[in-house]
Amino acid sequence: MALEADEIELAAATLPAAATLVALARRRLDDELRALPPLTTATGRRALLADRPNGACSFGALAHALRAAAQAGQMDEARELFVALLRRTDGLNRRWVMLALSRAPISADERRECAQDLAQELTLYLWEQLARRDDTAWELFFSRSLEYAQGRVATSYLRRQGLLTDPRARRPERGLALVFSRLASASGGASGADEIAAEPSLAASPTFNQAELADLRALVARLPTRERLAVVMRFWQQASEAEITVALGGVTTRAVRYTLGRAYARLRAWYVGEDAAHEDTHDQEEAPDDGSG
Amino acid sequence: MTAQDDDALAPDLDALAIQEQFLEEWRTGKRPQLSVYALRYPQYAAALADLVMRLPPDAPAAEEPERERDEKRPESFPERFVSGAGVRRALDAIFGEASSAEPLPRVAEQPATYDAAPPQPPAPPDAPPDPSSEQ
Repeated sequence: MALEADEIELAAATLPAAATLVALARRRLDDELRALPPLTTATGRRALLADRPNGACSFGALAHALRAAAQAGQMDEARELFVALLRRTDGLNRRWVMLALSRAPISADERRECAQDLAQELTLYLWEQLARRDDTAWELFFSRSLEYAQGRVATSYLRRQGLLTDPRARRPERGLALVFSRLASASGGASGADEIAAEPSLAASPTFNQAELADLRALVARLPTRERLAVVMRFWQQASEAEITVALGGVTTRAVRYTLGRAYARLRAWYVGEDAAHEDTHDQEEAPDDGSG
Repeated sequence: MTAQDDDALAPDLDALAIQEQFLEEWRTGKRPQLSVYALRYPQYAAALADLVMRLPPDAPAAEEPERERDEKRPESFPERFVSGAGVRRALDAIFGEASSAEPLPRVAEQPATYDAAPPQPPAPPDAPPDPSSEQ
């Protein structure tokens, strides 16, 4: 859905300041905590220990109750709350383990052992974060915090085990190499063509499996910030060039084409292992600006 | 991974609040645009781009932790996460009571560095060194 420049500016102006969003989250949590019965009551047990969202308190309130119990030394209660939290995040955690190990070059037996190791490490890490620290992010933005924790634990574990694979070291397979090749030629390479053909959403492409998408995300995440933003806007959200020019702070359309062209060339080169020519991923690189906006 | 690393890498509350706002719009079926957010919050745009890449194309509810999707269970993790040996080992380490009849062996090459033990009071400054700790 492409937006016009004035629509983008109007929509952006309606978004509240970040501090306001934090204050709203804090107020929501405070209101819930005031209304939340203690774990010693039947209603409190239902709200805090429920496996399913129906009738359950928020993750933030559960994290708060867990931290309070642990810091008060009420370890039986803390354990009960911690296990409840693990139960409620079971699906997310299992999916995370599967994805984290999807590219590890190990046998099925090793994979099962690594899966349990990862589960152990995440559980210990969550306890450390939830019970022993005063980071309110867990109460206010639990889902985001869990995702960061999962990413951190997976990276740390896979690196220590020597299992962290670099998508740049892989040979091109199926869809990705074709897509990068097509994008680079469609954009005219780093020189910038007059017109970039409309492309389907990369994320929605049926030719990618989960592992390939993970590779694609890892490669795009390595791009310099402006290139990364342009690529994601263009191919995950189908933004027009005009929309990207506004989002990048009013650059010209030619500069956007140049930015996209460089990004495609870089991605393709990384994927086929031509790293040396495209390692200069610094953000300061200027795109041409001829004022043609 | 140390506590210092965690602090350095942890996103601040503002960044999390903006991401949550973006996701809230997405979950309710709206189509939040990265271009709009990048214009309003340029300093957080890169993190939002990473978030957009991870969102399923047309499945707004998939991000919610409360909703466990029916899916084929992976071979590497056949049982529920919370019932697995890894979580049991962690719970034993944290709460100090065995949840299985026999202790389960560790399979990691190196033990986790996360500190799960309860805090110990500091040793008195004139205490003699413990010879067993110097081996």
